[in-house]
Amino acid sequence: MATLDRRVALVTGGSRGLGRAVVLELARRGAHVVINYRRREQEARDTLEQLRSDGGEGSVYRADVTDPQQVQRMFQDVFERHRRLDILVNNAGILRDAYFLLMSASDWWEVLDVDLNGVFHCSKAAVRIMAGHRSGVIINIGSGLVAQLGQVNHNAAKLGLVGFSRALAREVGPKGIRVMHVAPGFFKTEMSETLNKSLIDATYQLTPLERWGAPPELAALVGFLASDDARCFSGQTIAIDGGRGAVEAEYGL
Amino acid sequence: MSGDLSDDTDVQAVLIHGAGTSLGLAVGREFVRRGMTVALYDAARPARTAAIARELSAEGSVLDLSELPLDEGDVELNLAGIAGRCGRLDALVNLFVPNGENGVADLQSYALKLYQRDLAAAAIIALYNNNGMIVNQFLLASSFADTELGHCVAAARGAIAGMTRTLCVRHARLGVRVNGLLVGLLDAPEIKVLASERVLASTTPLRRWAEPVDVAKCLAFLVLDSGYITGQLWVMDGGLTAGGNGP
Repeated sequence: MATLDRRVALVTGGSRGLGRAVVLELARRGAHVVINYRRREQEARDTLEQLRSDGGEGSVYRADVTDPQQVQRMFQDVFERHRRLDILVNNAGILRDAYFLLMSASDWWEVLDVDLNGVFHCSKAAVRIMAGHRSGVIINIGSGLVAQLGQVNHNAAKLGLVGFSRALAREVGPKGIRVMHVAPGFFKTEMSETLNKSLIDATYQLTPLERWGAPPELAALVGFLASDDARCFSGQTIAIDGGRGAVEAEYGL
Repeated sequence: MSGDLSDDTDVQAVLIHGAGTSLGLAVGREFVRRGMTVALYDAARPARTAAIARELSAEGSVLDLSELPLDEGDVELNLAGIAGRCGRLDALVNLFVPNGENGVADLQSYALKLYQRDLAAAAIIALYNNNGMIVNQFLLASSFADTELGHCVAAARGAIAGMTRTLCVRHARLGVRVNGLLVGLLDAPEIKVLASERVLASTTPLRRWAEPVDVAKCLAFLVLDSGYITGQLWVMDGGLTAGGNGP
């Protein structure tokens, strides 16, 4: 297994849930991990504490990914301190679920702002640094590719990441930068616990593995993709969904 | 809430089908280094497979089982025999590199044989592991461009992509996962011999062709560390098809 020794990583929305699991995995493989958060300072510090008690190195950084100036300052500070950035994991995301006719314009915009605009701002700042040392990996965490009721905003944003990742991969590949899109199905996190019970039961029935994923399983995938073991992958979407997407692709269920 | 991992998931023995190539050597070496018992099988290339087994046996536990029947007759019974020789069977890796001038003829029956083998293997693996793995490695047509071999590779790839997704549903009931790894431009001696000067894609966004060791690292991740991934087709191509069609 390739290590990430001496690499510098930044994970947006790294204070809890899938982001926290990714932070801990990258640190376990030897990277210095910058844990970005917006509001949940205590949870970000808890994540840092856990990372350090596992023997890892990291720091926390408060910035709102929807604000280009805050993003710019964060990446500038990371560069001044470490002189490089090897891994960016665009993980920050929010939910504002509502059936379409009940979805307000702000439900729509807020989700697109974090899930898509935030990825634009952060990736741009990261590519500036990565192109300087001609290496780097950007991993965009989307969500399951199967459309869910009440999530027009979420699905639009997350599928936007498919195109974003493909196009950016073509453009920055010659600079030694890889771009990947990871599409998780249902995972047990704080955010998924807001889903209603009938939806949760339905997901079991339609998932071949008949369970939800555990955050460390997603983290292991991100760790692999971030490492040199995956040096030939770029521009691809990789689903980690217990087979849910395969069912829809072949059976339309 | 069943977010828990299965407990009996230790992957100890892997069968590599189509092992008698540079790809087989790299993949076998990676699994041996990770402490697994590795069974090599390639009835079409027995001499090369035997040489690879000799080379790798210095590094760990390797068996060359090419003399046994596998794809003819009762495939499940044959696989049970192979599992018996290994002591158990947790994973099957199907490797594909076209076999010289026979490439096109081999391809016409390749997907059907792969289907029968994957079907039988799930039943055997389920006896030993409740989160076992089958990986079908195949190629995109990139390396062969607009040639007869390229067309046959594309047709077989379509068949393998579809059956990987449908088998994932059936196999999940047995506690076995199945995934595909599709390699674009592969920097292997066997492929270079076959690739004509008409190869369309002379470069990739990453300016890199995949080497056998890259395939090996990826297969090791899929077999050993990819617990919640099934029914997926990964494309390893240095970003070549990033703007185009998925599988």
